[in-house]
Amino acid sequence: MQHLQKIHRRFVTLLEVLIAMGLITILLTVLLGIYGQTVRTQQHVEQALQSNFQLLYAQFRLNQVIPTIINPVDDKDHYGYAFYTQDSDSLVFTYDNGTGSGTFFSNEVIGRLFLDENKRLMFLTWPVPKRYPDVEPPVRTEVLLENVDELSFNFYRPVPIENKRLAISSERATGEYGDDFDTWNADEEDIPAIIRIYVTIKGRQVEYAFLLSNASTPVSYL
Amino acid sequence: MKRVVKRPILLLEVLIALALVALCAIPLLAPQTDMIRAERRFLNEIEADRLANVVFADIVQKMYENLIPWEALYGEAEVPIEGKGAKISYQFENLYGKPSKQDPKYALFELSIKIDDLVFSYHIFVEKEKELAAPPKNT
Repeated sequence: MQHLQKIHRRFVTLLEVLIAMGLITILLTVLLGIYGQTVRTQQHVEQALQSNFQLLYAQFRLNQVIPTIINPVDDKDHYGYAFYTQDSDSLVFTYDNGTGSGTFFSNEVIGRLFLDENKRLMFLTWPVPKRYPDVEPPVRTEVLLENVDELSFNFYRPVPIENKRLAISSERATGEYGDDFDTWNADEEDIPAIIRIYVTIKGRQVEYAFLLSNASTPVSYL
Repeated sequence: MKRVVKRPILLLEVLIALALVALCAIPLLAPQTDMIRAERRFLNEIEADRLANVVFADIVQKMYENLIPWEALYGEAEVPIEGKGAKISYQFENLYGKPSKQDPKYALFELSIKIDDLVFSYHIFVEKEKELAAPPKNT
């Protein structure tokens, strides 16, 4: 018992363990809270991205098609160009598809934009009548948007410059050089200069606007 | 007889240790938040792109109706647009330089539409009547 050492070890008390556990709990709660918030935000953003991607795709596709709409006035070779609305929520038009796949879907083709019974914004394409005179031509179907409650159009037709001149008074008249329409008849002699397409998805109305480069009337100033 | 006295761990030390653990968690969460921020920015850009087309159509319609004065096309002033839910302004630039004393018959303008910090550019071709027609008599 020469070197009898009494090692006095201090034990971890229950209180210390509880404090440590409490602190760890607080830290984990904060960290998991932040993480949970991040995950929820990401889910929200992904959901928004998904619906906006649909809107973006629709805009991208319509932007490819609508500005290339061909004016039926230019149908010198009687291809069967068209531009008109059916039942106010369907638009039929001829557009230039460029170099499409296959002969029937290249250059001038007919397109139809409408809302089907499943609330989908559909876009159909088929050859112009002269190129495919059969009763049932091949049709390409695209779904541009889903869950669409409503589809409507607005067509802006400006007054040609000749008529503008007649409309002018001693003080310059403004705001009287064009008309807005919700529908468009097949027998009109021109196409509108601006098309606005309104789609309502889950109560939110989204507007698309396009300028038609083949409209006869350019922007003019008196 | 040797008595070993062990120094207890202070609460402050425990707190520092926890803070260090928390600091280690930040790099784990940072990429996640950066990704979300990038996605949000992309969403805003998509929306701005659609909005720019709508504003462009509105401006062209105003030009068709001569509601934007001819002189304003050469003004190159930044014009704000209200009521679209974003900070929007537009600006014209004549691509053929400053107007001479005589108005040109045709002109090409570049229209810049600024939505928040994004800029969208369009070209607009405009016809200009050289002289104002006389107003119809007795009307």
